[in-house]
Amino acid sequence: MIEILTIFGAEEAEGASGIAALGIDGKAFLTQLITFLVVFYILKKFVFGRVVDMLEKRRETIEKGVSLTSEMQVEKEKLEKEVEKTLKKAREDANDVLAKTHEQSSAMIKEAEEKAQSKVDAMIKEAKVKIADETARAKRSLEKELVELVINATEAVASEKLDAQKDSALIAKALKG
Amino acid sequence: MAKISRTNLANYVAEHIDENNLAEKIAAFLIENNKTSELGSIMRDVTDLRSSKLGVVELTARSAFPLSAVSKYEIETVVKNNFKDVRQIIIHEVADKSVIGGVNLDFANANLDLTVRNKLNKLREAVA
Repeated sequence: MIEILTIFGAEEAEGASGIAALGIDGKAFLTQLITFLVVFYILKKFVFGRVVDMLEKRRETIEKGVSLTSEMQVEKEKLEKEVEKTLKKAREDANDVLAKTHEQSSAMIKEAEEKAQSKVDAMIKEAKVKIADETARAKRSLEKELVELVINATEAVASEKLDAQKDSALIAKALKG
Repeated sequence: MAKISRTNLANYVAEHIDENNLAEKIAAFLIENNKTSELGSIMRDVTDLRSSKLGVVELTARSAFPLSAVSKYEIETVVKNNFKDVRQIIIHEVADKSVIGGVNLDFANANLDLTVRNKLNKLREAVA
């Protein structure tokens, strides 16, 4: 391809001089230059600015998007940290609540046990008092019955065994005593 | 008979104890003054007065068997040791099988219970 263009250029150069020797038409070049400048002016006047603005806006939008993405990333990380922190706190709170609940339940159980124990102790004490009372009463009753038996036996024996002589001795002993 | 106090009446009885119709006079007085319920008190006063003024001590001895001479002597000894100027001791004996044994001496204003029955009663009271 390069070889073809070189040959073509050489052929053209052989038939002209000056700029034309280079294969360039001056008028056409000038016309094309003016046309180019006009088009360039028009484009610059009416198109380039808008395009540049549009590109700038797009760039800004992209930058904003990128910035927003970064911010969002930061926010996300922050949020994640916050969530993690909140979860941690929630777990700690839950643990605290569980611990407190456990303590309260333990305390309640202990209190209930103590109450039950004190009630049992009171019942045992009351039962002991009752038993002691009953025992004392039974003992007194038994003593009374025993003494009554002794008295009755003594009466019977004394009535049977005592005679005037023994009674006289008894009286003498009692009066001297 | 005029109204007199129980003390004066006891004094009168103690001083005229040997009169024949004393009992009738006292009975008449008590009925007339509606004081028959005071007969026991008056007799105790009389006995007490006789003891203090005349040296005569009267007592009732309650026992299951008739008192022996030894028992009477022991009783008189006790009386002499506990009363002043005793000149005469009069023992009214009462046989009472319920006392079981021993003797109960009943004075005008005192009682000395030395019977088996009394000891048994005290034992019973101690347990009750």
